[in-house]
Amino acid sequence: MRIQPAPAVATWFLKLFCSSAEDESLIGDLLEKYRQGHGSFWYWRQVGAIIFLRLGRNVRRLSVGAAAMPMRHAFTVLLVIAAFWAVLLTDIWMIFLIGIAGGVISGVLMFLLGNGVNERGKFGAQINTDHPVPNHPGISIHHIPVEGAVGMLFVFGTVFIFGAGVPAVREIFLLTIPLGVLALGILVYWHKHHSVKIEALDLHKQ
Amino acid sequence: MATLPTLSNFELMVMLAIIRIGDDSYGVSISNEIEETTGCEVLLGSVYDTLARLEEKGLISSVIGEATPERGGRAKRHFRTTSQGIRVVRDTQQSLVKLWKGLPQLKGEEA
Repeated sequence: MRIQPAPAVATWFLKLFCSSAEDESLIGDLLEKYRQGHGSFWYWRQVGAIIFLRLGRNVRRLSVGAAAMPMRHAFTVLLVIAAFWAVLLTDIWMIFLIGIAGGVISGVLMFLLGNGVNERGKFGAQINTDHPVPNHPGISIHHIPVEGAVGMLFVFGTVFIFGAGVPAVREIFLLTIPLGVLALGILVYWHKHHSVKIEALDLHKQ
Repeated sequence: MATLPTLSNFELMVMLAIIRIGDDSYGVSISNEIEETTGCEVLLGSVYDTLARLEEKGLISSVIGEATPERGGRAKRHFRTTSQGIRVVRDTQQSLVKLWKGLPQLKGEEA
């Protein structure tokens, strides 16, 4: 019986992404199934799916969450140094720009790093399944990351301390402080309404 | 008490296919079994992705088997369920049976 050769380019692509010893069995399985009577299009589709799923699995395995905390700290330190440098130069506009840009960037960074990676891959709230509600299987408390808010307060507090010595900056604070209080109110309100969620049908929790 | 891992729909299908096939469980036989029982085409990539996940959870184990010419001389990887895997499947079955009990008759699009 003549063995039907598989599309060589597709196999080459597959080997490019799946090169471990364990992947040999996957490639073998694909060849075996292909020779059961499937066409080239089927083969290409399977190869595409394998590569896509493999890349997805590798991305999921990347521990971005573990790097989040050091990055936050490094960024905060960077902002403090920048603010200190701006004050030394007595450049009011520089302080103003650092305050706004730092707040926006740190807020976005903290939100992405704080929320982007979690156990279930949901976006918007950290999920903590390590502490299920006692005697209530299927219910777990979902914590909203407040460390982002604390980090931002630290950044703005630092800029405030340096900036308060400059009369023009004090005037700017007349606008930013009420806005900050308003933002804090929104944050507290949001936290209050999203702090607990119920997971349905999590049947294995005792 | 240690919490047992949960199974998704497809993970449960793969686990059941491995149990049904027995000793000859490998990628092709598992995907064929699922395709024959469900009538839907299964991507070999998703089968392997699921198998890797189940192995990480400790629900299945694998051993490298023999190589055959139709596989381009590549060895098969045989899978079998662990005792924890069997326990999880049994627990899932019991949970599903409990959920089905007392359900009203499903007719058309309404429950």
